[in-house]
Amino acid sequence: MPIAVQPVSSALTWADHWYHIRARLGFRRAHHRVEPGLYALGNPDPDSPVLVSANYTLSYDALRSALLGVNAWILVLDTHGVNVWCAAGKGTFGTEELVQRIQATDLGRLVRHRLLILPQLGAPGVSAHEVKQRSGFRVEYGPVRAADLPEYLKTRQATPQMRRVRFSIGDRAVLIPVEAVHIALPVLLITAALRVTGVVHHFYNQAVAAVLAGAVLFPLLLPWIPTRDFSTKGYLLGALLALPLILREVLAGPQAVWWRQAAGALSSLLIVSTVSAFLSLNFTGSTVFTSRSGVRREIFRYVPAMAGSLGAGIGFSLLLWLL
Amino acid sequence: MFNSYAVSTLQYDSQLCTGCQLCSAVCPHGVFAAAGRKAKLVRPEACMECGACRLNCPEGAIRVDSGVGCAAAMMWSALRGQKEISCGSSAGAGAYRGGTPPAEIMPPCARVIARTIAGPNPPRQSANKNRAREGRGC
Repeated sequence: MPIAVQPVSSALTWADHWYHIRARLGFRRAHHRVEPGLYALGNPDPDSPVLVSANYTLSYDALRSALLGVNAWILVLDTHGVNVWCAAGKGTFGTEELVQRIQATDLGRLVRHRLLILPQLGAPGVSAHEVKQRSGFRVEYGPVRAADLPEYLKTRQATPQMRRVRFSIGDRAVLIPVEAVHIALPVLLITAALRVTGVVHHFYNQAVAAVLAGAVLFPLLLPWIPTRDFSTKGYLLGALLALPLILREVLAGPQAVWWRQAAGALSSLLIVSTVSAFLSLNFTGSTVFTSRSGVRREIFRYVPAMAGSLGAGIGFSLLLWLL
Repeated sequence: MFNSYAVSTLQYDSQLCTGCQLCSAVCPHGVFAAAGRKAKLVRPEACMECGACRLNCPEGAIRVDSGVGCAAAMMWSALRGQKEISCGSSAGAGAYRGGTPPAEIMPPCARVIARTIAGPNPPRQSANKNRAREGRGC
C-alpha cells in the first residue's frame, strides 16, 4: 500500500496571509487547522529529515515558510488546532500522539533513518526516551523558533540563543488584536449602551481608559512597569490612565460640589485601576514566563482586593447616580 | 514584595544525574546549564514550571509540579468546578493561548475561586470529565 503523503510548498500565498490576519484577530479561533499526517516539502528522499509540527495553521505555516529550498518530511500531529507549546502543555502534542502518528503514517517505511526533529517547545508534552523506546525513533529537539531551523539543519547544533524563548515588543504587540476583540469590544459596547440609554454616563470613559491600560498598553509596556506581579503592574498602569478622568473632576469649575468631585475622582481611580489589574492578571497566560504556582499565588493575593476595590468604585458611582 | 514568582516547585537531585544534558536543551529559560558531567541548576528563579525537563529526564532526577501559568484558564476552570485547568475557549479544543474568557465570567466571589483552585472540591459532574482530561492549561 502506498504511503499517503501530501505535497506542500514553503511559499505563503495571499490567501495564507489573509488567513493569518483572521487568526490573529481571534476569528473562529478553534478552526485554524491543518489535516494531521505526512507532508512532503520540496522533493524529500528516504534520507531527508523529518520535522514534527502541530496542526495549528500558524505553527505549521511558520515551519514551512522558514524552510525555503529545503527538502524535508513534515509530520503534523493532531493537536486540535492548538499551537505547539500550548498543546504540549496539555499533552496533545505528546508522546502518545507522536507514537501513534508514526505508526498511522507508516513513517518507518518512508525514511531510512530513525530520527525526528521536534520543536523545542514541544518538550513539555514529549518524553524523548519514551518515544525512542516505543517507536524506535530518536527525538532531537530543534530550536524554539522555526526561523532558526535552516541554520540548525546545517550545524545540527542549537546555540543558547536558539534555545531561549523571547518575548519581544513585536511578540507582545501581535497579541493585542485578540485581546481587543475579546475584551475591549464587549466592554465598550455595554458601557456605550449604558451611556446612550442615559443610565450611567461615566462608565464609558472609565471603560475606555481601563481597556486601553489593560489590553493595549499593558502588553506593550510589560517589562518596564514597576513590580513583578501582573496585578500590581495593572493597578499602577490603570491608576495612571485614570489621571485624565480624575483631573476632569477636580478641575470641574467653581459651581461643582466638593463631595461629588471627590466621589467621581475616587470612582474613576478605583474602577479603572481594578479593571486594568484584572485584565493584566489575565495576560499571564499569554506570556512566556509565568509559572503555575506563581499565578496561583497571584490569584489568592489580589483577586479579593480586586473585588473590594471594584465594589468600592461602583459604590461611589451609585452614590453619584442616586444623589 | 509584589513578587509571587520568586520561588518555583522545581526540585533537582544532582545525585541521579548522568549528564545527558537534555534538561538544558529543552528549557526555554536557561534554568539548567550543561556543566561537565552533571547538569547544574543555574537560574531556578526563572523556572516557569512547564515540565519539559522533568518529562525528558531519563533518570527521574527532576521534580516539578508542572502546569500552565494562565490566570484566565485557572479562574475559568474554577468557576466551572473543574479540578483540572482548561482553556476558556468554547470549542472543546480550546485554541487559547492567552486571551481572556468573556467578561461575564469575571469572578463574583474570590473565595470560591480560591478554594476551587486549591483543589479539595471534586469535579462537579462526570460529563465534563473527558473535556477536563483533555484540557490542561491553555
